[in-house]
Amino acid sequence: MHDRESAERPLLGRSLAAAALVCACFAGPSWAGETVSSDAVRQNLYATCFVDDRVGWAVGDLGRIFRTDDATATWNVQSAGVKRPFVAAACVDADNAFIAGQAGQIARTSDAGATWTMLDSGVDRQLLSIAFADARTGIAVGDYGTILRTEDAGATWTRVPVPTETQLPEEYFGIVEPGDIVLYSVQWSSAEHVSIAGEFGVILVSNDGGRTFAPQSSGVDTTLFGIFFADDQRGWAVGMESVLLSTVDGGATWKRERIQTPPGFSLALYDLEVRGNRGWAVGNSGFLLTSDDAGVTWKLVQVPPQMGSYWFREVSLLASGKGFVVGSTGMVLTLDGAGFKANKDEL
Amino acid sequence: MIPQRWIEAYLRFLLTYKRTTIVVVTLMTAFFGFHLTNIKLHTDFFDFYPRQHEYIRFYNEFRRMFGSANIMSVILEVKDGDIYNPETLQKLDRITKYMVETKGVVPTQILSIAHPKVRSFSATGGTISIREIFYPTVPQTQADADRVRFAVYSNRGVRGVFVSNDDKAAVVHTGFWEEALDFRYLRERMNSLVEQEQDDRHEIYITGFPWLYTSVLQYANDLYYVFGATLIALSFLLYSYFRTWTGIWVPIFSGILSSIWGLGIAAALGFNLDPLVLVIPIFLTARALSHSVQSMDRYHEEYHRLRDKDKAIIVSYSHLFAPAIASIVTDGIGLLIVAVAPIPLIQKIAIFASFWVVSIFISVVSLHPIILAYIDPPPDAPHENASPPMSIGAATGIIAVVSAAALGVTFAGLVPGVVSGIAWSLVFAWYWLNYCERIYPWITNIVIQASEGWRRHAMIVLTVAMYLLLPIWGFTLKVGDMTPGAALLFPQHPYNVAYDKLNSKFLGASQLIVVIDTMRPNGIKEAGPLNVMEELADHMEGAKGAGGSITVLEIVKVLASLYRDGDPKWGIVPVNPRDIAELFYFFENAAAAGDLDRFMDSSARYGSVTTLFRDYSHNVIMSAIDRARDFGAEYEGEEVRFRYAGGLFGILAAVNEEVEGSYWISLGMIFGIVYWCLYLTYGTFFCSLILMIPVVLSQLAAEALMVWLSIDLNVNSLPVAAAGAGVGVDYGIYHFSRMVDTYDELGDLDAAVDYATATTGKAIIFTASTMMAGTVFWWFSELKFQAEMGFLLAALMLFNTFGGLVVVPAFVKVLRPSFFIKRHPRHYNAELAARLGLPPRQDL
Repeated sequence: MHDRESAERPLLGRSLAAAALVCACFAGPSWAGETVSSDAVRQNLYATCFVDDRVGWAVGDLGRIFRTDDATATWNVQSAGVKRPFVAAACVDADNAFIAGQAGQIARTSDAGATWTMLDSGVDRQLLSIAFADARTGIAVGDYGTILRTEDAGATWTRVPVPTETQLPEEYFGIVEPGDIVLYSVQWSSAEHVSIAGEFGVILVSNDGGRTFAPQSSGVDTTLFGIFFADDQRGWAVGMESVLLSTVDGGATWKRERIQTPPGFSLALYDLEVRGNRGWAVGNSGFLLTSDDAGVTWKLVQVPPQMGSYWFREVSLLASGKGFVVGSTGMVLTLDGAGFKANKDEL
Repeated sequence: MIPQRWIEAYLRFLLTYKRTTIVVVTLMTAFFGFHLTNIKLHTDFFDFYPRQHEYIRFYNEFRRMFGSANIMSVILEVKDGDIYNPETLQKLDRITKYMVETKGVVPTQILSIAHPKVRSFSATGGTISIREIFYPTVPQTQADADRVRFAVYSNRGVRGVFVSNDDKAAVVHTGFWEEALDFRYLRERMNSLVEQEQDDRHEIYITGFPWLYTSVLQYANDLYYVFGATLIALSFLLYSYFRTWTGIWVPIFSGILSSIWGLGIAAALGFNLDPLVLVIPIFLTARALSHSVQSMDRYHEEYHRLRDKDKAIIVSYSHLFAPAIASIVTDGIGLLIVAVAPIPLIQKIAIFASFWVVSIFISVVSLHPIILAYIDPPPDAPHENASPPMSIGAATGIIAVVSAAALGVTFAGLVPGVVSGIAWSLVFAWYWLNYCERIYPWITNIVIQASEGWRRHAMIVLTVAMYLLLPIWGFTLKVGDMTPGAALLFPQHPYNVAYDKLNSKFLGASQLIVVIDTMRPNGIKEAGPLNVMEELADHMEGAKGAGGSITVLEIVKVLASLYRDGDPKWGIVPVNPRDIAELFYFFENAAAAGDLDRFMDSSARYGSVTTLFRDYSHNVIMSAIDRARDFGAEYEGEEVRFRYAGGLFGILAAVNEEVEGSYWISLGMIFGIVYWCLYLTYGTFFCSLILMIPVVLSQLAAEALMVWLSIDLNVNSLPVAAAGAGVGVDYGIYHFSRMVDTYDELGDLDAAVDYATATTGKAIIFTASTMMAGTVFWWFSELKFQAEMGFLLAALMLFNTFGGLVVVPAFVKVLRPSFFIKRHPRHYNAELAARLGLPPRQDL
């Protein structure tokens, strides 16, 4: 399905020219700086990160950046001066955050989003996930096996290769190289432990702060969209076809959980987090799972039928047991224990 | 002023060549009567469109590309549960197929989740599928229905647009070509659909512009009842006034003759009659009648004075000729001026209505002298009801009790309104026949007193105050439909119920289409224009009343996402032109031909951004288009241009703009013409201005009334409001003419004014009551529009009567125009002066 041809290279110049034109004609966003109520946001929200129970960011279509200081009751609309979507977010603290998205764009703020600075990532591939261990060290991953690492708060980024020994399904042998695969998720569980998930059930783990990665055997060859380690040993990965994998041995072995899905629905899980005993996994068509035993067992959350027309792309869970989920057309779920509240009237 | 000798010469000519005149009029009437048999009573949508307006030209250019703006929506609602069950979905499938087979539909513009044009995108086993929502077949089992639910939920642009947000209703949208609409056929066809598919568990609602006018048409038959009731009421009023059969048939004959001419010319010119504006012809018939009454009344008066039929005819009609011509010409030109609105519907009304009014010159002014010459003179003594059965106070008490009882039993639902109405009418008829001769002088006395002594100053203060206060409301009068839903039907009408349903359960029924022109083939498939389109769609979703936007981006994004395992993070417009081209190529190969028609033209030069709105009030339409234009001004350049404004909003905006522009122009011109005619009639600037005071005042009052009653100034009501403006001056004209005549006989201004009121006042009050009778039966129309217009015209006539009878005398008495003061009373009538108790004038 993917465009693997390197013949697209001649088109790159044209793409960049077109992109420049788009950026030029999109100058001067008029909406930046407004504060809007949560239910007034209509853009798809692709990623979110929260610093505490009240302060966080979400990013979405048309380059929109949303910051909240009141647990998503209102969003302050921010801008990095571009209209291309951001699809990944990582916040370090209430002032410092990084966002990444289409065409290799990465932006950072160190003043709570009052100003965003575009960084030079050195790539034009779509970035799909970004995570920081501390204010300076972070990793962004994306299309074509892109793994970018920074140690200077994003001033410079270096490429980390996908290990060549990464196993791909047999039918793709000779067609797809490990360096071609799409990497969807990156997460730090400690200053040294970093995990990445991607296409073909690929899981990569680093124990040296992301300088090198080693592949693990997930046991599935479907795409994994999300990965999360509570510590160096206990981890989970989620993906297409309701796949939910877990490990208790640092990824030496992965086990697939059985998820009972409602009839007629072909479901995918996009993201998962576990803090303390509480865990949440989110997916398409209003698909929500929760765990109250530190991710050992998961159960399907009953949602209003109307929620079936929304997808939830990312979850940010906090140590307090509270959390936030973002999704299609501005959807935000506020999580509290095993319960949730939606920001849309119809729900 | 027309020289008196010309008028008398014309009258003598008529009386000399009676037979020739009758033959000519009969031939003309036969000609118009022949054409009348071909009159078409129907609504033509193109009649609403101001063809030269930018938006209408845009609409006509893109109509074949993006479809008709006239969309009918059939909503299927379940009473319990949701639509995702085999029975409901099968019904929806049948309704969709039924619409496909309906005549006049735009084949590519039938959309529902049961129609293959609404697509479901999915990725299974590494393959992207683009299928019907009902794939693989119309649901037969609950499992099939569950699959439909998933397809509806997982495809953006389906829920909210084709399935209600609460899953309890689904809609079938059908576009109709304007030229192919056959309302009678549509009504029968849709009624039979409702009969087939509505049951205990399902309700069907139909709305949308084609259905609005279909619903209006169903009241066309009510016209006959209104005509009938009006005719009876007018005949009764005429009888009560003249107490002779001649008094009935002569004015009714004039009214019918003018109707044949007016409607006949409409038919001869190939005009169709919109049922909505029929309130105007009936109003005009009453107009012809009132001229007739004025002239008959004067003739009776002169006959009793002169005792010579021919002399009485000459004297009465030579006096009435000037005011009659003045009022006919002002009415006729006033109505013709309405044609400045470049909307065919209004122009057609203007032409035939002005001809109708001008025909009064034949039916009344020219024919009456001839008819009166043939028939017997009026009875010697006017009928006086010498012994009424009881005192007027007791009778008034009875009528008050009967009125209250009739209202009570009707509202309590004990007796049908028609029965209590007829019963009340009979009692009222008894009352009126016995006491009207006392009521007329009573009202006339009140009117005279209103301009006597200090009260004349109070009247002037009141007039000035009204001039200052009424515009406070009147100036807020907005063009277009102020009430969401239809201005034409009452809120509880099934059409409005359905319209509310569509707006409350779905994203909105009214569309605004903005077209992005890339000025090159395949331009719309590039990242730049697609991004502009996305930005515009987002911008438009922020407009007041907007429910959502629909663009080709829904398809681009969902395919882009499915290309990458369905991850929403990939559901964005690709940067790489090759990736975009691949998505389009894939869609065009996998989907059926024409599936992209809603979004872009076949060369991919133009792309559309359709925004759905929940109401179409003037403010919502204008602010939405302004919002689009603001965006266009910011983003227009080498890459893209913007074209405005399509969909229902474009059409309504064009109509509203033209209505608004032409309303003020035509009002200004009507006032100008009325003033000019007054000046030509009387040769005085100052008195003509005095006569204009009530005309303008009535217009201000009517506008304030429209605001208070939330009556919309739209394409339908503009000609009615403008017709009222021109017609109202007549009362002042007749009254003023009599003042001049009497002044010539008395040489005393106050006495002349009071005498004019006492004599003409009765006729004016009577005329006003005939005009009221011409509109009152519309008040009970099931059509809100006609009820409102009937009321508005009645109110306009009431204001004008008040102005002509009360305001004009007050101003004349206070300002004492030199037109009177310096005038030499040419026909001093000592006898009349003595009768009125005036000291004899030795100087005359």
